[in-house]
Amino acid sequence: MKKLRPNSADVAAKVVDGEAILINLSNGMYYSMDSVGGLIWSMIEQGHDLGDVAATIERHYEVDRDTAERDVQALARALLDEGLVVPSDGGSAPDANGVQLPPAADGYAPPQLNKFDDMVDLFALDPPLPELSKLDGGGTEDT
Amino acid sequence: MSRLRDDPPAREPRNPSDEIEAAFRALERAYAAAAKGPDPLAVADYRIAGYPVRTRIAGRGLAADVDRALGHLRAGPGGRPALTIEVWDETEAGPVDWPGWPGDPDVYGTLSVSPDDRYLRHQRQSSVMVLDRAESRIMGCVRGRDALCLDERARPFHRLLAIWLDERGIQFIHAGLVAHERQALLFVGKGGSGKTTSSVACFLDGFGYLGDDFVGLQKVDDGHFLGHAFYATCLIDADHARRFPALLEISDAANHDFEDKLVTYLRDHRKDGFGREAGLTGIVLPTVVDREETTFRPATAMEAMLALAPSSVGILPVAGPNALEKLGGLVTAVPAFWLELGRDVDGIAPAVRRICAHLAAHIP
Repeated sequence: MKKLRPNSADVAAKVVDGEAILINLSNGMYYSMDSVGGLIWSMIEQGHDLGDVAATIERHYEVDRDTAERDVQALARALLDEGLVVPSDGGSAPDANGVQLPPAADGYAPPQLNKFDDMVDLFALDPPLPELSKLDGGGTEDT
Repeated sequence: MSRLRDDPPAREPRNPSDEIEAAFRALERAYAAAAKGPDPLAVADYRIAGYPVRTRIAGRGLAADVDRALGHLRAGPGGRPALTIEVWDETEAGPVDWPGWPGDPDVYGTLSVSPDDRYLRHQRQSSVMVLDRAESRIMGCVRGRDALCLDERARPFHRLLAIWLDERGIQFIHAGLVAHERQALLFVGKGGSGKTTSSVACFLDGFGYLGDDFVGLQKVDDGHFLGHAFYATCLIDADHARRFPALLEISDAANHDFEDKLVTYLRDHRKDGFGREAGLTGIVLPTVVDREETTFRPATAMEAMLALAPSSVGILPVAGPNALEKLGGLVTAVPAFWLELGRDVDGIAPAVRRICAHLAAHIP
């Protein structure tokens, strides 16, 4: 597994203070990740491949490369299994030096994908529709 | 009240036929005929989230019900409304000559979209509402007031209103909102967290009231966030209402056996103290604890996000990858607090006032 991208057709995500929240709009499952997971998600969103991600974690948290690669791959598999990302076939990689890093003083812990299923019933009854197209000739305002 | 579909609906956006527009046109013809009849439509003007909205309702009783929920947002007539909502009550005004009641949706209804995305139809068991996005017009029909579900009575038009306002930068969120002096606090959390208890306790204590379940969230140019009031109602368990005897006197029973709450019309308790909008200064996460007194402590932005976002996105009729953007901005900009609710409900409002005092003292 080399590169992933968010499954933006079904997933809404946001990184808040370095931590990530993700909601699968098709089934109501939602997820959180702490600061290491938030960093990994941010880099996936920005188009970095998983090798870049592991290298950044190795440098920033001063963990060995094998640990960084193993943990990034494990989280990537979990994200794939939950339908939160899809494989990506490339595209140019952005500069890893531009990544906003959380404080290293927080320390390193293997990233976990925390799952919550208490909204599943609500979404099963009434899932939100995908976004609507803009109408020709107005009728809507810029949001 | 929950009744799961055997096969949950997919996020299928488009209705393959043009039946949605046909329903809209049939209702339009009914209104044109009614306008020439002897019993004029009940017309009322409101200002909802800053927008002038006019309702034209065929059915005096239904119009009065709608006004019980929205009356605090009344505005003087004048000018062209930004949104017109026209609803026909077949019990009061007679049957409409239209294609009929399509399908058999479950209690929460079915939302469908015309092939060109212009019309959205929300089909319930006893009501049909169609939004014409191009003309900013909602056209609807109900079988009768006595057939409506609790949320249709407490929050008229909420599904289509949410879509219309979202396109204008105002997002429906799942939250309560009260105001005290210069502070405006959102109560956020899932069902059972104590959100309604907190909102109601503050309302009965004299706080300004802007909502219990649904509030409009708007980011304004200076980076601050406004909360907009929608409905002066709440839905509350009958057992729960007994903790607030004043509420029982202003609550109506459900129309259906499968509904387990009461609809409470808060303006029947007092007419003043209902705000239209407020600049948000705090986020409160109620949680029930096993002790007598109620206290508060700081919460992180992610704790606020986890309490606010899933159910807020769950109530959105339409959502895409950016559904969390505004919520993320809010929890980053506004401080959050856990409100640990003790058994003594009389202690809730004083604890919320202490949060207000803390914000006034510590937040510029």
